Amino acid sequence: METADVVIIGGGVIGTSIAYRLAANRKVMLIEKGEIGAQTSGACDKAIFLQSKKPGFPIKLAKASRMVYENLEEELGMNIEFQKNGGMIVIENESHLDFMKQFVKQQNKAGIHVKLVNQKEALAFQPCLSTTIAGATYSPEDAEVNPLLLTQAFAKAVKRKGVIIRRHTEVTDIVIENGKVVAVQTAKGKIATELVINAAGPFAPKIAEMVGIGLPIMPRRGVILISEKVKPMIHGNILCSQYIATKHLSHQTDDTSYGVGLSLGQTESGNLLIGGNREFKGYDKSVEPEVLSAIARHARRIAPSLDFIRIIRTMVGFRPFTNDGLPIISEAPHVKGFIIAAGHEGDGIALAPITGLLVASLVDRDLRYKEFLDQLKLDRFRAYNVSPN
Amino acid sequence: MPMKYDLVIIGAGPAGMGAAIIAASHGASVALVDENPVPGGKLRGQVYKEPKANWWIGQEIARNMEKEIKQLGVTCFLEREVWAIYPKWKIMLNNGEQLESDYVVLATGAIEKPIPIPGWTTPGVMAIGAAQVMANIHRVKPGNRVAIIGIDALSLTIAYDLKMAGVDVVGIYLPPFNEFSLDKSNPLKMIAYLSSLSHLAPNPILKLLGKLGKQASVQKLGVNYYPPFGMRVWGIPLHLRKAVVQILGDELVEAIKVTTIDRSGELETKQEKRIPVDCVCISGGLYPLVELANVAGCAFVYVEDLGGHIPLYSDEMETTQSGIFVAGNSTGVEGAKVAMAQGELVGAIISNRLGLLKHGTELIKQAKEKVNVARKNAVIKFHPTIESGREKVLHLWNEKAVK
Amino acid sequence: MRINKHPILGKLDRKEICITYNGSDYQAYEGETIAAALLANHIRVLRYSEKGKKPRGIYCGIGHCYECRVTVDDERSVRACVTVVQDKMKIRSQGMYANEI
Repeated sequence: METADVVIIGGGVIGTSIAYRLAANRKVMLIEKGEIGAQTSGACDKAIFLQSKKPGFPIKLAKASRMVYENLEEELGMNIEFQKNGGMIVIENESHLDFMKQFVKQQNKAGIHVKLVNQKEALAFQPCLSTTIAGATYSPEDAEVNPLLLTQAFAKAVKRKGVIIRRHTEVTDIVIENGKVVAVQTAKGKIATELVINAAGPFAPKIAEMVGIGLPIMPRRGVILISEKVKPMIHGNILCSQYIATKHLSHQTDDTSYGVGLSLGQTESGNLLIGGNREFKGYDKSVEPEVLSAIARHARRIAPSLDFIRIIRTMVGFRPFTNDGLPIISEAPHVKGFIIAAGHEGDGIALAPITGLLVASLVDRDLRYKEFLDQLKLDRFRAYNVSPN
Repeated sequence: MPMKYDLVIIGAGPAGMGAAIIAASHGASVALVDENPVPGGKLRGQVYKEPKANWWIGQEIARNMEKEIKQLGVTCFLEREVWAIYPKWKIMLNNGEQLESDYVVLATGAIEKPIPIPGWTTPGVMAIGAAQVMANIHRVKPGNRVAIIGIDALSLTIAYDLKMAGVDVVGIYLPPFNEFSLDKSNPLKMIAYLSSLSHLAPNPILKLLGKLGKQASVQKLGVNYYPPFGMRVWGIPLHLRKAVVQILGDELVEAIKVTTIDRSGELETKQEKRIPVDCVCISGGLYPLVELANVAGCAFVYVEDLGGHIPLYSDEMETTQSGIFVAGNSTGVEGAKVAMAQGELVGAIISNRLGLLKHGTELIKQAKEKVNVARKNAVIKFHPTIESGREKVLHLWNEKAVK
Repeated sequence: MRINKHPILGKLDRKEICITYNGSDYQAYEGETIAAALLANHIRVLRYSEKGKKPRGIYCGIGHCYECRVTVDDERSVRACVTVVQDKMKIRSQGMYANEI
């Protein structure tokens, strides 16, 4: 039987980031049921937004992760297209103006550099926007990264560090003896280990079920339209205030159709990533054409110059939703040797760097990140708030 | 408004047409979709001499099948792309049309793996299959002086096609080693591969190489004794010790840069030679074209012997999404006759599900046997271990079913 | 470039039509694709890459790689390898981004 000091389940951006931090002095195996970065991490946009995070702990966590990004490219030794191009949240109509004013005040208080700009200023920075918008918020602190390159960079770096990656290997069971993890059973064999890290993102509940734990994580489906390559036309990344409203005040949305809220960015090769929406549809990937149309219509209304640009494909991903918008990075109660690192919803890319460090700290039992880890424990959820809404 | 059919088939190659003919002849209403203007798929480019028989002229066979399809009342949706498949089952076409059916056959065939080589985006460089389409279907020479990179059943077959078409094939070379070429750049592996070519091979090049590869002396001595100047097969120099390291020319292909590979397999860069050509064909091998199966949510498996990722299918060729069937190269890369037989099998199975067959079990059994016979008698094997690949899939299916 | 006689496939006998590529007239055969007609007229460059403005021609020949996109009667990004020529069809090479034109 093979042995490992630690087995990480899930080869997305979270799993590979964790492997990167744990590989220094351990024999690490990473098990992935398909390809590296092929699920959630391969179907997301590229923005690392700070200004959109909730004040308080969420912003603190996001900032800490954003700090790690500063030197990550150098550390991983690969171009991940990390850029500090700023971000904008478009306020489409007057009705959101008051809410967004309040939001900016709150964010400034939390130490985020973000300001309200009028329509003219917004258009000067993003000429693609419609002249009908009410204004926007802008933050120079927002950044971006190519998520496909990021996951691959982590994966390549961990291979160099001796991590064994098993692709196309599905975990079928986790063997427990006397309340302790002793092995991971895969479709291709058993691996003896005393430590398992569940980094399976939206599939994390299925893994946790194997040790008798119900995780309050739900797959929330998001779809992004991808355009043909075009000349640079978006500076940094754009969200709309509807997106913020959907995210922060889910009970107050005025556009109820399919949870649509704009996210717009342009890759280094020129393709536009036009999102998005948030829907609870289980693990069903077949997005109805009406949803695709709704996303396109919404984007075109805010950025009319998208009109003649062709959509060449779409991508669908499941974001691991938790109902307080924070991930679970926690040891499991009652089972020794089982750590959960999942539930990042749409912040997986933004929070991947810090997640690796947090899990390493948890495994090493040092107290460096105690303050963070205390807030990310599984036991913060009670039975009654497990389901969304 | 969606148009309803008993069966929608996507891909009008030999597999798709085979399925359409059988299902329609039993009375099913069938829609056949293809992005090409003419049915036939890759079959239309095939021209070879069958052992102890006549010439296999793909165009004629495709035309006959097309006639049959029309007589049987199959509705063809040509020059349409399928952009999505929704449960259960709506097929969305790019011009806004929608088809609806309980049964769908994905018969989308295979596509070539590219091997990037410096200069490979220059006009005049094309996939080996494109050269076949040009020469045999459209009757246009892909070039006057053509170099072929990559040694496999497909490239050797098409080298012969080009020769027949009057093209000067200056040589068949190895690709340089990179992430994409891998074994295809290794002379020893290529000699081992040649031995897998069938003695039934449909053209003199393959036949000769098959024999040559099988000789123990050649295999043992391997590349060391393979002449560095190459050998001629049917007048075409075949170089197992030379790699094309660069394709030269700014606006158009002008030449290739060829380097000798030394005995240990390394490039001897001092021995570079420039050979003028106006066209370069790259052959990186075929892999199943399976995007639509993914779109439809079918489970996938990776089976090297079949060409890579394929949708998991049962012994009735049904995927894990009930009602979605697969046939032909999208289930594993094989010849047109196997694809056709697979298509017919699926056609019979679906006809039976539709309640159109009186002696369904017997007919299906016969159709299965026909696939096996076609496989056994195949004159070209793209993957020498295809049979074990097929068994592997069934094993994986049964495993999944047990769960 | 035409293969008028083929030892197995016989003689070529197709109806001639006329197409325009970048403003010049060329002869084509009914039923063939744009890519085939242009290649028969010694035309290999079908477009320029939008970013580096490097020439591109057909690659896969069966509609999969999208390297051969041309503008046909004002419709952008039509694949030359799977689109059949029509008499008096106006074909133009491409080289600009959609938001550059």
